[in-house]
Amino acid sequence: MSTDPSRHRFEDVDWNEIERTRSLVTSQRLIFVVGLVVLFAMYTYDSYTGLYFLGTWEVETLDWLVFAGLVFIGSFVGVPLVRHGARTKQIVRRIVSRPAHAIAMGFLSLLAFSGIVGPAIYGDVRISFGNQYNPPIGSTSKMGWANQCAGEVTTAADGFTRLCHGSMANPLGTNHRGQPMGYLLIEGASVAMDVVLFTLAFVVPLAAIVGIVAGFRGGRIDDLLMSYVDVQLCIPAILVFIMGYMYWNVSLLLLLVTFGLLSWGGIARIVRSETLQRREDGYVLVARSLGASAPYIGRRHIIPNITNTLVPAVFHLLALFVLVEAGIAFLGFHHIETYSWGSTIQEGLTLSVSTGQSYVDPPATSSKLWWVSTLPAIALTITLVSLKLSGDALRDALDPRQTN
Amino acid sequence: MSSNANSTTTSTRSNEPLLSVDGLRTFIETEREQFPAVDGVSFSVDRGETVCIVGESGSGKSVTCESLTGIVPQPPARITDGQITFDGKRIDGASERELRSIRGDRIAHVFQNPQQALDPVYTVGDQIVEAMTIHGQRSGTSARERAISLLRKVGIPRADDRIDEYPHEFSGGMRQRVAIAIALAADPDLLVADEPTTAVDVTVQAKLIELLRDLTDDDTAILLITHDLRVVASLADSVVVMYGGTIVERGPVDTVFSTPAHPYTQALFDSYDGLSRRNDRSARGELPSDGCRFRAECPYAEPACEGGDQPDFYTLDSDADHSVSCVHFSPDGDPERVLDASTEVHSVSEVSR
Repeated sequence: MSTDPSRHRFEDVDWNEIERTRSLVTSQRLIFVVGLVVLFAMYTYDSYTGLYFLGTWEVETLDWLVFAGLVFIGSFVGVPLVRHGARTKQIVRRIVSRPAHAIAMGFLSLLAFSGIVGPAIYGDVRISFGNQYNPPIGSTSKMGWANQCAGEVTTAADGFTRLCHGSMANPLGTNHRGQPMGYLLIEGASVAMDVVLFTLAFVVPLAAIVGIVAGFRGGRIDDLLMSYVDVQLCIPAILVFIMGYMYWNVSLLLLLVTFGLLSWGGIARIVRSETLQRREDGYVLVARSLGASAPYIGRRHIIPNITNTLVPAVFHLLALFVLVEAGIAFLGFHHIETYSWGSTIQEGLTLSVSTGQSYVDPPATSSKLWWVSTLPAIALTITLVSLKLSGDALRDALDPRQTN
Repeated sequence: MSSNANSTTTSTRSNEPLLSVDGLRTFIETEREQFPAVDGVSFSVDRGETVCIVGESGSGKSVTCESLTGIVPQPPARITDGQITFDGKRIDGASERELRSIRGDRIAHVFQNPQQALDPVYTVGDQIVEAMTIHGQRSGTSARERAISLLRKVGIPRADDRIDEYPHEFSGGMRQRVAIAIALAADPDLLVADEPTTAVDVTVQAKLIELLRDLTDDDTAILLITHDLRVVASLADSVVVMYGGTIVERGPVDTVFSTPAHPYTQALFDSYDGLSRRNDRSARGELPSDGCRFRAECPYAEPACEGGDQPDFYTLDSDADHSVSCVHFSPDGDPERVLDASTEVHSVSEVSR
């Protein structure tokens, strides 16, 4: 690095935009409220008319919650990022300067884009068992007697077995229901994004607020909050989820609510212990001596100074939740129409259950139909690695003292 | 007893002081005990005046100053007693909300450690502007312009470039200058500086003293905590000497330096000289919790020093503003016993050389 990034000048900062803390109406809050109102109007319209907004995509309760989460993240993270454009540029520059971090963040952006927009574009893909087990491009599979193949069909050397070749119609192949793998991967990305956004919008703020309040106020409030966290840490989320699974409709929402509301204790504890250290720092005393209120100090001075610990911990939690969701779906505790990566991997590995007997002949082994389980497994792995790397990338980029 | 101790404070200045503290008591509570870190302190600061509080570590200087606007951490501290009047208004026992409106805006603080005083994640400009925006004084371009002019005022070269730099790009002395700029940002009436020159090296100290001297020319009153008599000599209008949570002597800087009256003040000046006249300052034992706090070390201690509160303040014959909390200066006592021993006479110019 020939230039020292921390020495960049910020002449182009619009200082008029720096908010006055006393005013209740800030652009962040305004956008948040307007966003929620618009969302509520759309929800009301949707539930009374039942019309589709986008293609044939049916918006469900969880989607509405994720939209609300997006509004929250957009107004309280996105707006400051746009307003402090120079600082944002500097952060982006720092992330890009490390190739591994840049690739990880790039992949996550792609995942976010395909996960949020993809399902709306794809719509519902009809199940057509006839098209099952079409291979990806550059690969072949044996065809059953009633099997249709979108690509070229050749006869094998034995003169009897028909081979289906991969084609552009289904570039990544299809599964046992004839659904294109691309569609399944995007559906899986959408599920992963639901997990990530729900956690970011509801679980992390809860944990951060509890941790900061406990650490900053101390005394009885601290005791109360932390003993609650201790109790909560004793309740296994998976048990609660399976009990919910038995008594209610199984859904991704149930999984997110049980795991989300029972698993934030660790982050709260980290935030609390960091807050205990930071609140003794000189700049907190300076801020108090300038007349700053406790919530203001927590927001402006504590949180930015604990990102070193908080950001990697949050991304670890995100990776963990994505993995937990995939694991639970792999075990089969998922809604039948939620095509999580976990459930797709499981379907690809246990063909004896999922194979329509009449279509594939002779009964194929899972290694011959490798793409069904391998592709989502690769997607899941890259996602987890990217989440962990992005945590480190953001931690490094957010600290102005780092001069890489 | 303590009530007429306060009433003996006489001020020749006609208008009322900017800040007056009367009988302030702040306890520090630990799990097992509570002890008074500040035990009945009374002093006042006039408009535009520079008052120095001197005393050794643990004498309650910092707790006194942090009790003024209630920024001393509570708990463990607890302000139990005393009247604090600022600009004609009682601010002791004021609500947190009222105190917040005074902090920074009217009474600003500078602290000892410049390494920690700045938030590492914001530029120095952000932090100076923040001090103005907290009280809604100004924002936007005018705040930035004022921040640049403040940086110039505290002597930071290339201020319009350096305003966008982060604290880690500043040296310790420069950071302390920035901290002073932050304190001055909201244009306070009173600047409380808690040993601002202690944590920086000697050459920087001299420059900071220079800076503070420039500031004392303004109409901002300064309450300066220090244990450096050189700083006192070059800056102060009047001096308050603290020992063991109490004030033992106070008065105009000239007379306190020329005739240090309290045995502790004399000992303090001696220790600065390094030419101690007396080797009889006894080893420090337990700090007495009543009577004259200094008596365990005082060569002139006598039974009258024991019991009750810290002795009343008695004015010296030489200067009506100079008063001392020592029984030897009472109408029944013999001041010459204490003063005679102090053969060496200090002067402000001698110390501030």
